[in-house]
Amino acid sequence: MTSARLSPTANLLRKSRVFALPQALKPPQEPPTSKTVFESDTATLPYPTRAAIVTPGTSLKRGDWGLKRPIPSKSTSQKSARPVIRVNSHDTFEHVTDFESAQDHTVTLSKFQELNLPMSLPSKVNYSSSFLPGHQSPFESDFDNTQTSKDLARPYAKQFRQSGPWLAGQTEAEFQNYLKKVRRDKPEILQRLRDMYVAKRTVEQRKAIQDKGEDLENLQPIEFDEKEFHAYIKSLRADPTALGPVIFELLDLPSPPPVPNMRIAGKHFHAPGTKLSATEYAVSGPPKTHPSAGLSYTRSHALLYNHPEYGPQAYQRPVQARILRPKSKLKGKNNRAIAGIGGIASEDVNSITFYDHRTPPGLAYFDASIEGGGKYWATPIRASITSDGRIDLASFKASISAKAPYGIEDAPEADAANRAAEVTRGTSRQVPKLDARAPRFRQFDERKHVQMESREDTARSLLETLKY
Amino acid sequence: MALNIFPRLPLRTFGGSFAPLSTCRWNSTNADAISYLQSATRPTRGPKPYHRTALQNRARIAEEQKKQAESRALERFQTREWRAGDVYAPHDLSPAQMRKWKVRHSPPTDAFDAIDKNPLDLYKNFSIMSEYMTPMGRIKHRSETGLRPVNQRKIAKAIRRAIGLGLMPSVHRHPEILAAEAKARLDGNSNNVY
Repeated sequence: MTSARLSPTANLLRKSRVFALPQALKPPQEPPTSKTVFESDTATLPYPTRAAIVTPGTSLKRGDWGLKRPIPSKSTSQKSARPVIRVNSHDTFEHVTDFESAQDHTVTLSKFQELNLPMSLPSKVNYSSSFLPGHQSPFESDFDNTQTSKDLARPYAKQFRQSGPWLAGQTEAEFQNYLKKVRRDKPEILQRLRDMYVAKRTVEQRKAIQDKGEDLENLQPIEFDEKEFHAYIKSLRADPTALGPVIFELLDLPSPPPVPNMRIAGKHFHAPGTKLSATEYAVSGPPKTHPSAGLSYTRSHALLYNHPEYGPQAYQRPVQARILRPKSKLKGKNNRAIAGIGGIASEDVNSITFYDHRTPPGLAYFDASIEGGGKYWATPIRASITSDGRIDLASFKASISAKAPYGIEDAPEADAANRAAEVTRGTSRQVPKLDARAPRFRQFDERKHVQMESREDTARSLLETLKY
Repeated sequence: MALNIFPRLPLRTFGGSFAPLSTCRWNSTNADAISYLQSATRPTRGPKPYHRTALQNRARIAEEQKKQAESRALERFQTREWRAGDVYAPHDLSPAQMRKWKVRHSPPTDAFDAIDKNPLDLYKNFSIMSEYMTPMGRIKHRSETGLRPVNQRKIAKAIRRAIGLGLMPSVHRHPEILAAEAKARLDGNSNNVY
């Protein structure tokens, strides 16, 4: 092996963290704008850009992380039981290693894995109906291909990556740069076009022979004629319907979004059908990562959740969703609530419904009186990765039957008017205690003597009777 | 369905006094005046009369608006505009982070370099020109526009040229932009105007 032949120092370096750490990814880019931008340089990015590293406990005691110098224990082992860091730079001018905690993304990943969700290919969620697109795993061999995969030869194979850039997502400057590159590579590209031309002629000849009912043995190898080839190029240039598919094939470009209806009648360059694995990628561009982003490797959601008392359940245990943005916010026109599940912000599918009198408190509008912010119980159903690398999580409000076996329920509506008034109008300088509220987790025994006030209580009492 | 929306409100307390004034169809078709009154005082099982629900609607809306106004003062401190797909850790919800999201930054990249256009060629495009002017007609500083020095000089010259040619007013935005803004304000949610 090569490592055995190397010097001990070289071997040491090869095995060290210095060489093992991959290069940082580019942080997400905002489109160019003329308006002022609101951003925070220390906010958690939508996806990790640097590798998170851990060290075994014995080394951790010595502060040894396999880096150029030991990492101080005060900000690692004394701060956390399982410290995970990411290294911004191995060495700086001040002779320190620049590092920070990577818990924000590692904990988000472990929280996501607790949701037991497989990753799906992205699909647009239609907010006007409760119908949700079905699950399609990106790991199926028909979809899990790049431009070099062998499985691309399968009849219905799709790919998630193509070698060319997505022209629809480029700025004018980027497009001009790409044009320059294409012009530079013109000889090779023309050679590829010649090969394509010969292949096309062969197919045409074969088809002609088959149509005539002749023997395929008459098939002569096509001799390339430069004059005919130039005539072919001329005919392509004259015909926009023929040129588009050839160009996209030749440069291996992902096909652009569909032509808008108002332009269909006009003259435009036709594009071939998309080769990408999801139609959503055809509209918003090919994904920057693998469509699973390594968040989960399970292929299907066909799991059965067992409850020790009530047996198999249709839904898994609901999780709490934090209301990050209520439906009607002060600023902005978008009337969609945004809820965070396991540290991932997602648009609340159910809040689109125009009127729902059982809305949990804090979802319709910001309610300052709720302890720790508004939350509700949700059942996550679908997770996918958008083309810019963000996690797209869809969830339903947990149904009564999903919540009942676990003895959980949404917070009752608070008398927000009175409590918030104390805060906002009060003359005293001290903030009153807002968390005087009954616990949300109730034991089964407590609920036995609850009066039947709502359908929820009726359902729960029904469950109790079924048990015996 | 619509009448079962407000189960919390005390329906019975003031409902009876308003019921006889009802113009609901199932009441108005009832010719007998006595039975009409009796049916109104009796606890009804069918849909509630129109006036009762309207009044409760109004009371409920007033109560909700009061609640919202109370929380609005505190909502202003939530400066981050959350987008679907954002990942957050506990520190992203902290006041320190929210203070950071409040700060206006100039665009990090040059917009004209991105679209590969010379600002001087766009002097007739008053909507681009007014993006680089304040509402009072002053040319924005490069710290606000985020343009590189060459493009900042060019956009300043283009704005001066447009004003000099009389294509744009010099002390307010272009009337067509003002009209479009006014229309958007009328069409948009009235909650947004404050």
